[in-house]
Amino acid sequence: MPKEAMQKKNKNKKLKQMARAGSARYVWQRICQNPLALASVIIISLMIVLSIISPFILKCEYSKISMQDMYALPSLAHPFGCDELGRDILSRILYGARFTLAVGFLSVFMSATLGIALGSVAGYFGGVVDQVIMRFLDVMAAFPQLLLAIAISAVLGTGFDKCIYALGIAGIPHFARMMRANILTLRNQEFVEAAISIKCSKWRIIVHHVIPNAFAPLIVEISMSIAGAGLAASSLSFIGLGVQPPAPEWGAMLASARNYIRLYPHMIMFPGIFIMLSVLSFNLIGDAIRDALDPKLKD
Amino acid sequence: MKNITEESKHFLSVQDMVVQYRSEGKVVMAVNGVSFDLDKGKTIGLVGETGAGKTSIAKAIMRILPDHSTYQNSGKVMLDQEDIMSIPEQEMRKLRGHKLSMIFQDPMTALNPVKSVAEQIAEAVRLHSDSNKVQAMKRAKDMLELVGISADRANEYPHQFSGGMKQRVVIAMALACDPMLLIADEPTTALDVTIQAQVLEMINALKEKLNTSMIMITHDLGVVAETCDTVAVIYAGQVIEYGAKEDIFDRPAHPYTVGLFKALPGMNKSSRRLSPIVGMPPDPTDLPSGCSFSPRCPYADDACKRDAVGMQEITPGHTCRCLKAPL
Amino acid sequence: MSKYILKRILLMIPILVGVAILIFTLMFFVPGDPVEIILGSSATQAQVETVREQLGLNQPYIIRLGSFLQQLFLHGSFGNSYVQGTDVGAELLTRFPRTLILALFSILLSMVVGIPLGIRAATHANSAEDRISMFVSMIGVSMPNFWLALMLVLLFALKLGILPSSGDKGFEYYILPILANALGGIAGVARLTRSSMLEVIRADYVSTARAKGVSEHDVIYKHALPNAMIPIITMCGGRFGGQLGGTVVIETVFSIPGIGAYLINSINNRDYNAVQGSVLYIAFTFSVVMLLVDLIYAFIDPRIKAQYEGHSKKRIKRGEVKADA
Repeated sequence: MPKEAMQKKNKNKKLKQMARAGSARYVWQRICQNPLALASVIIISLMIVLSIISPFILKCEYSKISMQDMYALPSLAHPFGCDELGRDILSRILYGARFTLAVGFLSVFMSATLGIALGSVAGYFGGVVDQVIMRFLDVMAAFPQLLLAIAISAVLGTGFDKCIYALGIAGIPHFARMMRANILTLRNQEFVEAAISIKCSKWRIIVHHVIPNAFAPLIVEISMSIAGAGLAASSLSFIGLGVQPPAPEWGAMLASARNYIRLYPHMIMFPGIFIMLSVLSFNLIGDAIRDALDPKLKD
Repeated sequence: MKNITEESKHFLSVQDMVVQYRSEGKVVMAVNGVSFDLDKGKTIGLVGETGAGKTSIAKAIMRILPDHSTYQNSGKVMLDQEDIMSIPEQEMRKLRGHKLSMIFQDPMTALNPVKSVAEQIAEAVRLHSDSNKVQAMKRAKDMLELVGISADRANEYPHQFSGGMKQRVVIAMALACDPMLLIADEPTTALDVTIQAQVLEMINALKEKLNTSMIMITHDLGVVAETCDTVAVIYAGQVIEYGAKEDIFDRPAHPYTVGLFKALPGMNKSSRRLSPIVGMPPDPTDLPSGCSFSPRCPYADDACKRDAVGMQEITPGHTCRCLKAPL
Repeated sequence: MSKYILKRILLMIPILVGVAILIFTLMFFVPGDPVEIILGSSATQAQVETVREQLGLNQPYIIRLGSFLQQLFLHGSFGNSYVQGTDVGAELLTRFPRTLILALFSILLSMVVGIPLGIRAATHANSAEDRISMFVSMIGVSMPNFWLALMLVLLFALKLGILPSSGDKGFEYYILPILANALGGIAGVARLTRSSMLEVIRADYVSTARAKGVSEHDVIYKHALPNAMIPIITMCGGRFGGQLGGTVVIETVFSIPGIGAYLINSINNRDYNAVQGSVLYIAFTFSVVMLLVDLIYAFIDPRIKAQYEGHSKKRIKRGEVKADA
């Protein structure tokens, strides 16, 4: 009997340790329980750390041109080989992680903040404001997202910051529409009516009832969008619109390596693998966050 | 040999049914050894709180428990001398909707939103008879008329009907192939009180007309009083009291059943307050040892909490799962 | 229904005008003088002035916008390319069939393979098979299509030598581009089908269908799938609409002279009239495809259809009142 009681006590303890569903700690616990998501978090963290410290720890500088190493195949000295100017591909890839990751994070940050602001204003005020904003978003939604980014790039020009603006602006309609729809549904939810009926202040309703409920789907959407933005960033650079060579952006590296595909396929192999790995990691993390926040899809 | 003759007395006989689900690594013990019998043309009421395992019993009889989460499902269901738990799925499919059919709890979600109501009824007809499309549609329209819906509306979609009307459609669908056994899972819970009475009356009338046996699943003792011949009170996946309706209503033996009646508001009762059953139903992933009602039972002592309690006969045909019964 | 279609088409007009204004305005602010692009940097001041006059570039923004919109909507003209001097509309028209082949076959392949895969995963949810196929499809979703394209070229064109690596001289030239385009689509459609089916498969009406004695195959394909189709159609419509505007990246890799390749060439040549024309064209086709997707919804889901048909709307309302009473 005492043994059973002990077991029960332990069980209770375990239950208590599990954080409240929906909280940040709960999401983190769910990610840790999911081996793929955990591996993804580790991969992304490693990429960030290595991107920062690689110039200091690797012997070959990412931009150092070396004529005798032109097109070198992978070897001990150059694990991923060298490119058409004899630059070490490994150090270029590690250094270049910053572009894909930064464009991914910053452009989604931009579309999310602006989109959420626009969507909230439209949903909250309604009426003419809503009409004007929504018609404008309708126009923007008439473009496929990558095309909008391409068109904006064509106007703004190329480069790291322009790439962020182009992708950031192109992502606004999606977030704005989603936020507006969220607010509209929440406004009519019974729990909001219930809060009104017990004389909750407007401020309290917004902070305690509307925002937490609108937040979960947004977090899910943001985490999923980062993967898409990273992919779009490398696509833009690949067609010559995003980050420009000689910066070792992965898409740009692929674009220049493309000319040597026949003879030196190792040059296109590795940057592609890294794009895929980072996008895959963001997708898996996004999936885990969605599973944690969206009980509807749980088994 | 004795067993078979005993079974053959009843039209439907459920024996030792067990249903367990798996959910987030835990085993949910939804149904724990339920047995009951039902005769032709009669109605048995399965009464109990939400989560007591009533719907699981119904779905297990129909053999439509969800594959992905069902952990264990055992027991015997003898329908018309045939153990329908052991026949192959293909045979079972021919019985479903034909020999036995089911009315679901929530009419709002029980109909497929992208098919017209007549189509949905006709589908059942075509599956179980050799009628062609036209004949099946004719039958579907007749069934709609039977449940009080004009045949003009046959080609409309579920979203065009009100809740009560939808439940009529569901009933028409369940009865379209003249089933011998009808399982009604809380058929009136989701409806307004005024509609409830209409729907109940209609089910009763149709049942009489077609001489169908029925399992009425409900938590509403009023519904039981109106429709049932025998009653099985279900608590935590077990039958805790079983007998004729009169036995249960006039001489309830189990403290839980007694509590249910005490919690019922009555017009002629002098007491101002209702007496609720204290506590909550047990967690089906972690059932208490001994009698599962003991934590909430005012009469429970150590003996109740020690060993599982068996069914005991109070009077012939009236059994009860309580050491203290009759109180 | 036809009334609704007409209404939707009419509602699309202001959006298309908005799209035209937006693109024109964007291009108006592009740095650099188009005349310089047309004539080259060696042109004299006088020459520049004459061409300016001819093209109406001296006019203020609002007048230029007006004449642009007039040209576009009344005469259906996208204007002339600065660099080649050819009609942009005619150029897009000759390129359209190639892009259409690419987009159509890619989306068909994505649906034909992706939907059954997703259904299989959903009906075997959480089995080893499901987990593996979902992980593989996640890789498919994460793979950049231009890299996949290069890998396919490397394997099938350079190593095995069984398929051509670039050009558009026959159907075999489209096999690798379609594959590169469709693999991501297959993976995406499979994942979406799975999650959409999982949501539907637990619905009560699926149990109702089983209780009627419907076979498992029909339960899945006749009862669950139609209800799960809306998000799948949205995704496929979006992909198809986007690809009809040119699979920019794929066309670049395989040197297929489609619409996407034209856009990129124009951007690189700073041929902004051509950029403007092709972006407009792409936005227009995208809008038309999305409109078709909306119409398909109405055919699949009577609830959506009902929103568009006045009389049944009244009936729903009446039903609601009854239910509330």
